[in-house]
Amino acid sequence: MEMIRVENLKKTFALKSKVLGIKTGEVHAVNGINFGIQRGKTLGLVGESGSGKSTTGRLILRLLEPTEGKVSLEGRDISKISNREFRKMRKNIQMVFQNPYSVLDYKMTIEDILIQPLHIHKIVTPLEYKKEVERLLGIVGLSKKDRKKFPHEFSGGQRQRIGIARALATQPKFIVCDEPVSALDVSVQSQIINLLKDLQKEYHLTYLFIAHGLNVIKHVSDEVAVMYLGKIVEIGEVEEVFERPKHPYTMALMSASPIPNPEAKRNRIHLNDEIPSALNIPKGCSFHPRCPKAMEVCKEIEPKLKVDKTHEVACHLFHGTEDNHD
Amino acid sequence: MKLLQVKNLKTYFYIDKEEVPAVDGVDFDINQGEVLALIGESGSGKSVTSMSIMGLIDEPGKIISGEILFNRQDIFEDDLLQKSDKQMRFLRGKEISMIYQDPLSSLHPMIKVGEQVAEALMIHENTTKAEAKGKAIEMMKRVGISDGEKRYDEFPGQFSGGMRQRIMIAMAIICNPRLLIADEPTTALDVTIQAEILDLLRRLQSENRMSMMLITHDLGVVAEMADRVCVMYCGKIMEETTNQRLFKNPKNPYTKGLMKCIPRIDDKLEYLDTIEGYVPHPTDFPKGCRFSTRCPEVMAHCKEELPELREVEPGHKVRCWLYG
Repeated sequence: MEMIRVENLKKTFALKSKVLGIKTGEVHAVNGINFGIQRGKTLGLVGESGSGKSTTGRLILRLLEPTEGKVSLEGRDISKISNREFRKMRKNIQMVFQNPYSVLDYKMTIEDILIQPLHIHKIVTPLEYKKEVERLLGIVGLSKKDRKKFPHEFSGGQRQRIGIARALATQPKFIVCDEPVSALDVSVQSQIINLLKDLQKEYHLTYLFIAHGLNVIKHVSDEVAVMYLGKIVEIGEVEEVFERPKHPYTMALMSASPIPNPEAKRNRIHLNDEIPSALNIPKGCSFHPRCPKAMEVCKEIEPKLKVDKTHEVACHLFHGTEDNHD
Repeated sequence: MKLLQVKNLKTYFYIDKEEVPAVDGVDFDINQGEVLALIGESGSGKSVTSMSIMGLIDEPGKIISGEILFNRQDIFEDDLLQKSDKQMRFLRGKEISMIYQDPLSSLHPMIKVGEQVAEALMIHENTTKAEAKGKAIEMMKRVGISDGEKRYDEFPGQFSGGMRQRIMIAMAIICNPRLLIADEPTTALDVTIQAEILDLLRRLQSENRMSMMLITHDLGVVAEMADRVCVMYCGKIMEETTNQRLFKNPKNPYTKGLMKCIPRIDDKLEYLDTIEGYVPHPTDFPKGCRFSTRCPEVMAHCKEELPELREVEPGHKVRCWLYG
């Protein structure tokens, strides 16, 4: 069963002149993306800064209003419903953020932080708050005694556990994990990754896992989508994409990712230039100015994501001539 | 030939009347033309070590003991810790340079980047402005800013993250320093840009026969760059050996744990190994071995007495009771 489906999702930010208040430009942060995630599975979204991966997460949660497109949860369109109705759905979708330091209110005890969602979404009756808080702390590996403490009394890894407990408080079906381990120490990262995987199994959670580290994405995902300048350039089953990457950008990304083995062979693919500004996305394939395999057609015509059951790629190298003109 | 010797360095911070032993008795050497990586998690003391070498420790921090010997004319006459601020200012930027994680906050936003690159030359080598400009443009080209003439007059805000890091590198090495300290030089950059900057650093390091102290938390970066590695934990060096040996035959349980708990592209495991628990707070280090609270191979003795950093095989030092 499909938990979440995203269709032609777009977000355009208008740039306004500070003096005149008129529109001076547009940033296409997310530029027409499509994907679906099956229940209990994880889609890894990988890309460099400015690729639109975090914006995608925020659009699904309606922390940002999409410019265009549709998001459905269990087949129901949630992008068009009123805010009031959305609030009722809200408990089904949650988010775990990158920085556990800034998302917890430092003046609230852990108990109060966890009671808030229980109260708002009426998950349990007030008499059961204490028991539920203790249960939540237990499942994320914290002690019952921690309930009266404040966020500053915890380390980064423990705070991320609290962030996860808060997301789980509403018994969600779908969680957007936005770089959940990027701010953590290496020795703590694996604890949090294992915890997220355990919780997924136990509660049949569906994840959209956003990260820039390919090693983390490879480890947690069932499917992986590679984003570049607001578009998905390659998507497929994780083994398939990592073992047989097709898009030149995916290949470059993989070749650039450092491998913790001094004897590993490296065939680094060098890219020309740096990522263009999202204000000024190149015509044709947006990757063509940096692509080592760019052809004439890439400068003119934007490649569509070619549909294939297990592995899709948006690149002219993999398209027959008839595809180039659609 | 040894270029730098750090002996029993202790840098403590005094915050709210509490003593924080950020660097607690660190010894290592850097040879001429060598890349030494200092790897550790947050709070391990790797950045404070580099700041101590640069003479940039300020209140509430204090270097309470140790020697930092820098080989200038093939003689170890210079203990950097005995130098005055003025003497250190003469060394910084000329003999020892540093690049930081975040280039944007290290560049002056209102001064043309070219002038910032040329500044060190004018200070240390008394060159004229015109001469310095010529050399700065040349340097900018060497670090991969191809249209150096045009970009000389631009400001840091007009550069991307990767380009700013190139500017920082140009600034740092324009006086041909003998030691470059790179503190997480690529952590703020995207993967593809990181690869380019690491290539650039390696190329410049070998062209100039420069020594480099690379500070990072990323084992992948260590594997690509280092000749030798020091693994730090809670202000102490836990293991020191060559890059190859460290990855092939790690000995300290902390190093072994680190190696096993990183997810890798080149294998598939259902579960990652973990190091249990958390890094202890610096005001609350355990008695005995600093890693004893998390160590899977902990013995009774480990909780009582701190082991020494001992050479267990030629070129391989370990701080652990399992080896001595």
